[in-house]
Amino acid sequence: MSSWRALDRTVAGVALVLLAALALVLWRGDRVSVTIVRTAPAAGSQAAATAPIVIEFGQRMNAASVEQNFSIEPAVEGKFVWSDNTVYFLPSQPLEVGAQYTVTLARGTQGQIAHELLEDRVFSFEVRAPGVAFLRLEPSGYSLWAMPALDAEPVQLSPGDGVFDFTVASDGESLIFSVVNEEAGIDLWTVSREGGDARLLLDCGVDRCFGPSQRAGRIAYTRVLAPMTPAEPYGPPRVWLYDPKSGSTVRLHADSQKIGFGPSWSPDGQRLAYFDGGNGRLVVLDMRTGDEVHIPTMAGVVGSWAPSGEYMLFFDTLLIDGRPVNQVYRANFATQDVLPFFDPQPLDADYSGPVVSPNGEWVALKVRDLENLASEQLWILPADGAYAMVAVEESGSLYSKYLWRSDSQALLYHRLTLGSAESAPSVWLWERSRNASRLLAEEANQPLWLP
Amino acid sequence: MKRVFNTLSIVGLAVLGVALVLFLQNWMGGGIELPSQFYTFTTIFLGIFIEAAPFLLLGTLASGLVEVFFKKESIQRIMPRNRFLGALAGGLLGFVFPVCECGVVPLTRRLFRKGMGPAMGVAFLMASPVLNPIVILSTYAAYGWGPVLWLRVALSLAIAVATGLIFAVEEQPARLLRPSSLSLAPIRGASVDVALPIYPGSLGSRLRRALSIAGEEFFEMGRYLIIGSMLAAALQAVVPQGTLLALGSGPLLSVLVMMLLAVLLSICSTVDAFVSLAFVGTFTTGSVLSFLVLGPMVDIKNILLYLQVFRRRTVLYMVILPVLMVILATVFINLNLGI
Repeated sequence: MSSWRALDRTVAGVALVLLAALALVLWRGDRVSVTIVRTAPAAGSQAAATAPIVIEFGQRMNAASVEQNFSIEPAVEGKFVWSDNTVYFLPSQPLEVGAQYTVTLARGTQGQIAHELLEDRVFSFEVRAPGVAFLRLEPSGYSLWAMPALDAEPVQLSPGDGVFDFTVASDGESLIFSVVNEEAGIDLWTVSREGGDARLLLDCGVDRCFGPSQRAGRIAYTRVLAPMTPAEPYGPPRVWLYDPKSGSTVRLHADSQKIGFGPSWSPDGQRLAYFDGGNGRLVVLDMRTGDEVHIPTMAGVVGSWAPSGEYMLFFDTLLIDGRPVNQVYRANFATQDVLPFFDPQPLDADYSGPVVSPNGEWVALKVRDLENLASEQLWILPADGAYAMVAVEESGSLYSKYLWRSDSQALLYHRLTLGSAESAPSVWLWERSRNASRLLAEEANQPLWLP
Repeated sequence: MKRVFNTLSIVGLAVLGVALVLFLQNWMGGGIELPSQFYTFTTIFLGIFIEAAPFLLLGTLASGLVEVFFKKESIQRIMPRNRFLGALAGGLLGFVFPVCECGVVPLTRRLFRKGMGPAMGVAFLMASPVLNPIVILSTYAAYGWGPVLWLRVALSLAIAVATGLIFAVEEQPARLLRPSSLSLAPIRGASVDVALPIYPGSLGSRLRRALSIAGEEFFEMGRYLIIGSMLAAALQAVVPQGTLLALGSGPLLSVLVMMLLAVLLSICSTVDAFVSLAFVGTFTTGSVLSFLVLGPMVDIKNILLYLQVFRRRTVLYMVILPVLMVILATVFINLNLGI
């Protein structure tokens, strides 16, 4: 039995040593910090007023812990949105231009399954003034241009012409634009705000991909499939999603009967609105639950999201005395009702294209006299529509693509003057403080803020 | 013949029991509401048994071939005399005998009888289910040439060699084994004490003899595989995986949960890498490794098979030592390596 005792003693001794070593390892605690792969805006950089604050982790995180340990100075209200290992903090109001913000993720922030942040992660950035991007008509098509600041010289961003449309990322660092290719299809391209580095994002071949919308790392666009033979017409438009990380693209709905175009993300990137031309309605799809809200309208365009995402302003076309007249409506997603923006509805004029300001307090819309449709006015109203003031009015001018500046104090718009030799399109800025407009770029179309 | 009869009895009773329940349910027009655990149990039991039986058969075939074609003296001559080298050689022997944890038990028993030392035997038993080309390739297929593959191989080898060396303390290896393991008849009717030469006869007759030995051993070990599979299935039916997984956070607890899961699931090492992929991202890398390293060494059906070869106390040590070593290694990985 002596040898048994030797083995017993050896096993007991080894077990004790192993247990002691385990106790030591546990006592020393976690020596591995949660890794942060990327933060945006980059530390010390100039950032857009509308930029989401992004922290990409090297592992899955405990969302509640991250959100508790996140802080920003000066304090800003906002919402957290998660995409895999990345958290997006989306400020509910645009950041203040010229201000410096400091973001801190405190030590102790926990990963989902292990590890925690061993030291505070702090980064600061300054909010820059916005520029403008627009399309310019060249002899053989449109090209994409940008003014990094309002007084800067325009710079061409697209390598050539043939640009169909474009969008600007919410962080203002890049633009996505659609370009007609050699097969008569339309591809998606991307370029930085400085230009010179345009690259193909999505080769659509003979299909036509356009109308991109980007939010919180997600891109939605409209895709029209090419016919099997040249004699056949193109198919109906459908909304597709593109994942910039993997480069993969999928149809929004697996059901090919669901058609639509003009996707527009909600401010928090959790819902997607598009126009369903087959059924004459706006569809607002909740990407988390798959629930849909349907808003009947014949206007054929998606409305304007309120910054909170609680409601959308849109317009619909009514037939009054056999004449089409546009009227503005408010679709409230919380109460699931659609009500006229004006009460009672002023049927003596045509109201369309409502755009809610970033602070949610103001609305800009276009008004046309039913007796003189060739002349338009841009109106500014409080969000409840209690009163209105005319911001821009010039006889014989048409306005489109008007967008609020991030501080809600100015309006960028496209003007086309008819009936004169100066009918070239141009981009203008209306400033509330002066209640006056100034020319930003001539020969320019489809302007967007470049935050 | 008695063993075969016993095995068939167990299988027959199990099949009859299931058939009876299903017949009664059908006869009653589906009126008998069987608990969902019954279906879980039968599914899991059949899954484990069908998965493991071919590998047990391979192991017993290898055992039969070793018995018939290798002289005890020849094997003893090529075995390292140094304990450490013996344990290391045992750890790497899986590359010569690529058997999983079910097949390795009868083969090890046969090699013990042929004179293999405890350090080498235990190391072989512990390591070969992982350190063999099939399992390495399946782990590669699941994880690629990454840290999980290398750490699985390295930890399995280190723990097997260390455990083997601890058992080398025992100077009389026979005391580790059950008497029946030592008296395992190479040829029915012959005494173990007789210094038999290698089985005589033509190649055909020797192969037939090897198959006969393999068959007997398969049925002998098979009944314990059935009982072990039933036990594992019953425990899984009673303790749902979800309950365990819900507990699996933290550097230590996640390891303990995954080790318990490995023991309960009793999955063959040739496929466990693919099963473990489901836990990646939910569990720590260390805990996934604990599943991949401990499972092939210690699980319910293994323990029952071990008990047919080793004394109870030996089996107890063969469970305790790897468990402690795996906990230490994988908790260390969780807390100190950023993988």
